[in-house]
Amino acid sequence: MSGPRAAAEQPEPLAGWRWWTGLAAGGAVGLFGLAGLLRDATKTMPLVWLAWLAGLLLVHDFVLAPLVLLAGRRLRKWAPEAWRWPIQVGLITSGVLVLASVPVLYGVGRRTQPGNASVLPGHYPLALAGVLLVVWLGVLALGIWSSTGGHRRSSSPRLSPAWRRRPSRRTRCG
Amino acid sequence: MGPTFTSAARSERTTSMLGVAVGVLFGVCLATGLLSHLIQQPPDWFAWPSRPVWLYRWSQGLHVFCGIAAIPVLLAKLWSAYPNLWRWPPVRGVAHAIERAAIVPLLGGALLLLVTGLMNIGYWYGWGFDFIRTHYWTAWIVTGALVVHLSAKLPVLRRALARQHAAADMAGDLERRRFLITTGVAAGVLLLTTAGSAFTPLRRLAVLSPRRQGVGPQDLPVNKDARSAGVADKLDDPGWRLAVGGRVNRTVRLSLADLRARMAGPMGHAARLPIACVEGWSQEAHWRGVRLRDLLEEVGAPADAAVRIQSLQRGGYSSALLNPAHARDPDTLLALELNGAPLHPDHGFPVRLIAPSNPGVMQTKWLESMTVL
Repeated sequence: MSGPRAAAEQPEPLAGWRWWTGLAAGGAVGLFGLAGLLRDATKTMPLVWLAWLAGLLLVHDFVLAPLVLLAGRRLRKWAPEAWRWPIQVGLITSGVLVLASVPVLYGVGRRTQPGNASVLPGHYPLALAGVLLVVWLGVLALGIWSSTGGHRRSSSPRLSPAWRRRPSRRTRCG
Repeated sequence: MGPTFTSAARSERTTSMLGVAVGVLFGVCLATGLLSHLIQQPPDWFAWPSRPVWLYRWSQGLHVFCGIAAIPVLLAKLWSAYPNLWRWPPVRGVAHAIERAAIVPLLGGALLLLVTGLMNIGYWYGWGFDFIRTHYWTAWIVTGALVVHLSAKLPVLRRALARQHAAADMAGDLERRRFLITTGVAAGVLLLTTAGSAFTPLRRLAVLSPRRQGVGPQDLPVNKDARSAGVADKLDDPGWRLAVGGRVNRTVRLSLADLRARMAGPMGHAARLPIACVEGWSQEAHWRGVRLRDLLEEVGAPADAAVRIQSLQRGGYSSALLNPAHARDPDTLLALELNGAPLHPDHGFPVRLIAPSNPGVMQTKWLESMTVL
């Protein structure tokens, strides 16, 4: 079951010329791509392609997303109100940086391009550690600013009442 | 029954805003990707101009760095729409079943595009399939699925982005704003630490990029070095000549000394031109050599001629077709020098082609022959 928020939203009406035109046009473009993929089968290896596509989808839906939700839930229980958002920024930014750095950290490019010192020239574990340090120093600064009341002074008056009214003990997932 | 989702940051409005952002980023990637494809495999109706000089550099830089920025934005979009995965009942009829089924190629394909693109710029070819073909056809599949998805979600998008909706939920407003800022911070830090491989003002910050500006022989990165291209042994051959033939009045075979003599004379020309790799990195350098246009005139090639350039290298990317606009551009050079010194073997010694606004793979190195078509 979806939460109360999602339930309140009306389902989109899948009818009318816009939907059917879009379906026909999008379907044609998609089938053009699929036909090309199958025609180039010796290069695209459709079964391997399908395994990657399905694998990425499953890893996202049933590994990555639940882990993020779990982390969000833990964070809401564990972190003080003023520190929640700064830590959220830190965790999400760090997670994205680590994911996007997997190819350079793994460094297989150095082996596929031997004798080319301009491929992957950096010391990436050290570089990533440095970037993460800067990110978490930013988190620290934001947290201190937020816990000393900085956010109340700066947030717009229109938002402030709702911010104060919101129940703080609600458990919510990030 | 699935999990419960109660984050105030999650709403139709959040999903719609992130959806628009993903749509813009993927739209830029599609347009620039198709453009790069057309430049490298031009149909009859397509003529890629040689000016402005920076056009390909910017187009391909946008392709790669919009793709990188799309990583956190797509993940945020999926986070905000994630409860829909658990919606019950899973389908409400045929149209709804089609709409949901289209999400499989849309989402799986989008993840595949980002993951293969990211791995490819890191020289990690760990999939088995050919990158270019698969990335290309997957892009069409994702585009088709995106059109279907958009035509289903357009009413939602319109409703969610309407002004009166904004005032409806103030607590949600703050949470949403914070979530969008977080996504922007993640994308921003990712760009700051990678985009300097193309965008010179940020070059010192590009510590997570697979390429660094200024790193390589003669302070310029190399895509393929002489040894792995299989040409290292052929470069010292004193019998080497550059053969110029095809639709010309007289065929010539030029030695390195012949080319140097022309560079010292009125055919000599220097230009600042970027090497712009399809993998997104680019860097401007100072090139000096023989102006191709003047050499074509010397051998009596027609003014509208295209030129096939052949490398000593064999196999993929060993030749390139230069269209008339590029062949006749005053800055297109048979380059003998880079940044004030003779070409390093990895940069194409004895002579390479350098033309404005072309992909790096078409800037053929280690020239063997030119055929006027």
